[in-house]
Amino acid sequence: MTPNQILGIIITIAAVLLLSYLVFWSRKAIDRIADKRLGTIREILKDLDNES
Amino acid sequence: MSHKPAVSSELSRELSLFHITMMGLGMMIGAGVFLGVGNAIHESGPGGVILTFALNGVLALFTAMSYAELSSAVPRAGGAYNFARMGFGRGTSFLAGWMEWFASTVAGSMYALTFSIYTLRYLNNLGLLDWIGGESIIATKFTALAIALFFLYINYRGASETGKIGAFFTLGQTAFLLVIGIIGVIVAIKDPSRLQNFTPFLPHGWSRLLVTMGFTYVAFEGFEVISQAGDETIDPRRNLPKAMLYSVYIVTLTYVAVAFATIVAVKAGSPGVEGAPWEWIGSFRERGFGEAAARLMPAANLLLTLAVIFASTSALNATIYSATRASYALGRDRMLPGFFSRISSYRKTPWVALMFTGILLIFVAVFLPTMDVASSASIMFLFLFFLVNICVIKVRSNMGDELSYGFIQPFFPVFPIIAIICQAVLAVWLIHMSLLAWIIAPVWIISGFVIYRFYSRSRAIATEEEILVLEEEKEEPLTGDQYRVMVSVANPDNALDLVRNTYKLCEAKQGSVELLHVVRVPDQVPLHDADKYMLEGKVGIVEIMLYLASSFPVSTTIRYCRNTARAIVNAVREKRINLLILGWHGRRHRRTFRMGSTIDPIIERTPCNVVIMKDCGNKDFKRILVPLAGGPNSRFALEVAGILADDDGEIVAFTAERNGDSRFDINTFVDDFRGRHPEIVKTIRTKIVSNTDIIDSILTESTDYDLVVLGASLEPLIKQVTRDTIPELIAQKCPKPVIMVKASGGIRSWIKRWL
Repeated sequence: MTPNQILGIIITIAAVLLLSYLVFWSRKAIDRIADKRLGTIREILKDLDNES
Repeated sequence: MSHKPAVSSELSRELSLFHITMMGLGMMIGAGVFLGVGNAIHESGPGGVILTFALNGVLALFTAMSYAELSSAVPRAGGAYNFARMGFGRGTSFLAGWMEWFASTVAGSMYALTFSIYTLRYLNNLGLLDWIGGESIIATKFTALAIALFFLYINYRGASETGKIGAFFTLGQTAFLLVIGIIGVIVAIKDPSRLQNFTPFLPHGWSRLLVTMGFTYVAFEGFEVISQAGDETIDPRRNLPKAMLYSVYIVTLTYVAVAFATIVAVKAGSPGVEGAPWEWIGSFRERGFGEAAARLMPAANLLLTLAVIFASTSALNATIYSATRASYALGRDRMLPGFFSRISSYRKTPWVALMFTGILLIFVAVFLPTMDVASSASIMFLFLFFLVNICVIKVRSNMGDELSYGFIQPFFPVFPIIAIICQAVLAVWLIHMSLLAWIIAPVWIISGFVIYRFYSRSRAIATEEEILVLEEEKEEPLTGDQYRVMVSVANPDNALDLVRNTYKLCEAKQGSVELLHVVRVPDQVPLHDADKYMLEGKVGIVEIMLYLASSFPVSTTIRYCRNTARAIVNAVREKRINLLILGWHGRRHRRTFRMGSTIDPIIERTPCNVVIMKDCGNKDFKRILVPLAGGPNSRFALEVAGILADDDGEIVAFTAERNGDSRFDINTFVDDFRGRHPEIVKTIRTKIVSNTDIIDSILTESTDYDLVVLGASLEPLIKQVTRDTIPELIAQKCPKPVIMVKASGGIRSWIKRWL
């Protein structure tokens, strides 16, 4: 395999993994915000911080 | 006296998460994958096409997250138009809606023609068009007109039908593409030699990726249509952001799979294939995907035609829906004539907006060169996305405490900033693709400016979020370089408590005074009844004026709004205030705020010096304690103490060290302060104590003083929200009068003022 191919595969996999992480993190955050009836930025940031 | 019963119509909520996800997906897949894959392979090679779709997917997700955050907070029809109105006001929002309407409508014209071209070509191959002489311009335009009228009718039928029809077509095309992707993977596993098709990986180098990313980016714009469905979606705060993110995710994986399958579909050296397979596929340009798919599976031509029909019609359906909602929102807010917002009482659909969208769509499809106009639609989509990414930063900064969000994006504001930069590059690049597009787009935008200037500006109705000036009196025109002090009179009963200290500060600064009373009108009360709340505020202002008007130029303003903090911050910006003075009752009602829902945003956002007084009244301050930790706020705290202290008073600059850990040299700090402020002639003593509990040591020390002056915390919002900060805790617990100060200056204040 050429260096370009290796780098290309790494970038593609990284892009798909980043995409997957952000989508599933977001899905979890949306459900959490809705279930706990959070609203303002401060409430959400505080709750997300408590979770982590 | 009899009243007519008020009957109003509104859009019915019938679209589920599945429906709106499919709407977004339909708009994306119809836009670019069939035409884009072959061109991308031609431009950047076999590896480039996969990287193009993968990287574009990430970039699209960044913008989709901005849309998701804003749509979850403002789930109304209008999309970017609504966001721009909240972020920048009426003028920008009109242009956003105006561009959104045009971009979606013209994209619809392109899909109608795409449907027409592919359908007629297939029928012609079967010999079914011989009686009209094959494919002709008239037949193409007539078919486009027919399919456009059909989907205009579908949209008139209602949101549910629109969503269901769209979902049906989208499922068909997505299934077809996924089948192609799966077959491609199976073929590669059975015949690994086809992986050699990826050599060379990037025959034209990495820089060509930018070209193909710009060309195919329009294939990721479907989240825009989802944002238009806010009024018709079930549980919009949850479903809108999810649908946007899911649609980008699904479409990116589908595109990557299809690109992979296209490359491995052609075996090197097979009949008719000369040279490398990627060169052979790329040589067909727009038809490259079809030629490759035909080698991958039998009956591909029929399936491909069906897929293009599915794709173009579902995209047409989605764009009509999106364009109609954009013009409906403009009519709803009287940016365009009010009849644009008329809703059919029978079908519950905005039929007038739909009719005008249809006229524009058909006109463009029949009379104009579609590809050039479609390029200008792409430019406008990029402008819109650019604007939305700016809006998400502005709205969170200005209204984060007022809106109820259903989703917030992580690592804010990194993703919007990356998206802004990349979209600007892609928009500029489009000039190489179509010069006519860069003529049409400015003409449309300039016509929008003209309409706004001569029609919309005077007629647009105020939204609930806007702040209105109720009464304004200027005693004396202010000169450009005069120091301006604003006193926010919140409670008329305590207004006089601010007088004495305000007088001293104005005297020291030789400033003019702006008295502001903000009337917060409860959400239940219509804004046009707000003048009932004006009288008591006026009384407080008049009382302060009696004391100050003889010594300083004084002007007064009464404003009403839904949010006090935002009204004060806006007044500070508009009037270019240098120093804001306000009182504080010393309590906080919600734990997510340090000092309260009004004081916190003011400290964070005002681009000027701020002085907040707690229990100060009109007292003498002979001994003032100033706890210091270094930094601009500490310096300003010392300056304020120097101004407010009595002539024979004493200021004690105080610092508490944890276990003798002396990172801050208070004596050097005070000497430096004296050098910078020779006008402060009062005695300043320094005092250092060693204690493990800084808060406790300051509170204990404060009992011997008349006043404590503190610098506000400089921690970023995330840290302030997640833990209590020392100055604010002291301000709450201290039994003595307290003044909290925040100094302006530096690049942050300049940016805040400029924004």
